[in-house]
Amino acid sequence: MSPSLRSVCRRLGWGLVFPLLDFRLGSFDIFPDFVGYLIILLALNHIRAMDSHFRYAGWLALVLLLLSLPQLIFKSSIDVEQFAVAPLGMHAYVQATAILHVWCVILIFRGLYRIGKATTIPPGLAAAVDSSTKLYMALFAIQLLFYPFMLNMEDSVVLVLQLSSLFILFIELLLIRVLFRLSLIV
Amino acid sequence: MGPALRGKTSVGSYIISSKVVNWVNERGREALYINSDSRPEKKKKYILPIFLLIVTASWAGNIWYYYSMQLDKPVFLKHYITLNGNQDDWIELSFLENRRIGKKVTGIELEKLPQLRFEIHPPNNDFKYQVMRKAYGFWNGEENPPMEKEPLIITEATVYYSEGPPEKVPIGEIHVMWERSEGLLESISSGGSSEGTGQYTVIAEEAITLEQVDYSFSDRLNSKFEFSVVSPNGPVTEMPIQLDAGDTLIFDYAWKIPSDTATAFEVYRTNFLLTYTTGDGEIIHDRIPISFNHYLSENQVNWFVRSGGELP
Repeated sequence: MSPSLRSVCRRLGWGLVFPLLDFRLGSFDIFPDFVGYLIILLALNHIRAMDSHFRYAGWLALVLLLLSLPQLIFKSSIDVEQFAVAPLGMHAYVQATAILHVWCVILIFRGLYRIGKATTIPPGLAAAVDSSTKLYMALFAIQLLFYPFMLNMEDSVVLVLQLSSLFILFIELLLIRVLFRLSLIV
Repeated sequence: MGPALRGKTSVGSYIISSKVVNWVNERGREALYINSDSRPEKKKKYILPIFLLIVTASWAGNIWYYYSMQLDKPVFLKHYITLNGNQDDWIELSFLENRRIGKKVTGIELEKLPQLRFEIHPPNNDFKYQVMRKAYGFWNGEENPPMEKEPLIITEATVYYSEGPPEKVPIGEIHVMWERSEGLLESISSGGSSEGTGQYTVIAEEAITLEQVDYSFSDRLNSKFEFSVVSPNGPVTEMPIQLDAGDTLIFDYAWKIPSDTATAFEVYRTNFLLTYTTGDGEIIHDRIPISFNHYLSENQVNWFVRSGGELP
């Protein structure tokens, strides 16, 4: 793997950390999402010629960057207790950014996977990328499908949904780890 | 076979086995890459639109159901209460309100008892879509300005909302009466169960003749309330009966409120109405409280909302 691709992988990894973490001082996010998407956008710009997936992912990163700007001013996540009172537009915004984010992540990994064919990524890592993205997609699909049920379901079901979103978080961490592992391969 | 030879074969088999592993790895890698792209494009094309359609349907269905389970506005239960103006007394008004959306009750006034100040308590009985809230009004008819001591029946309350103008809403019937307790029956014990049964025991302070036992709101309650009176001589089947000083009377009662009708949304605070004569011929009207535990289940509330959210 070329040195430039290695640094791109590292930067993609760091870029994905920002939207993942939501530590707030008052209403201010210490890891603002838009910084993450900016890092991702710049990293993808380097490798955009290598695969069409990166080009699309770059566009999505740009859209996400713009969409995440309002989060500087207001809190973008919805608490379970506030779920029903949150206006539909807010739900649409949260779900749309989530969809675009997952889509962007998947495109990045599909692209890396394709490049992996031509380079010497160990099969173990390739398999990890493949199975992680698939699991990521499947879990997110379930989450998308059952998210509206939070309106009517018992609290126990809501807890299951929260657990699944924790699981998605875990997989995203694994994917970020894959990026850093890729960056170490010579 | 000598030791040297054995060594040679083991090295050889190691070389062969590592080659095999490499070969297997490579086939595996190819299989992985091939597999990931092997799904026919045609099939793939439909997955996303169908999935998005299902997600949209999930949203539409859930939103529709959520709104179908909301009340148009807060609903007051029907209260059948007697309130005594001659002593410190209070009333409790219960109402159902949507848990999250829609207008909330912010204030209650009774036009005929303007000095009654209501305190609205936070919800204490939660359902999935609604909350039950209670407003307490404390009152003494002899406070300033003193009221004209006339019986009153209050059927409406003026309710103020978090949004929109105040409205007059039916709250049942609150009977205001002015009575002084000069009874000759002293309470010994009382008890009630969550199943709706209760007991009240009194003791006669002097010899009396019990002429009549009735209960308030008997016209409404005829089939929903049953009671029996037990004297020292056994169950009372006929009136009048004689009681000596020190005799006990037990009032056994049971509420029979059907759970699947609007009656379940009625709240009663009633009394046994006793009429007895003393040894010197004086007629006394006395009251004995009847306890009433009001409980609504999630299913009853959901049934009520689904059937239109209005009490007859």
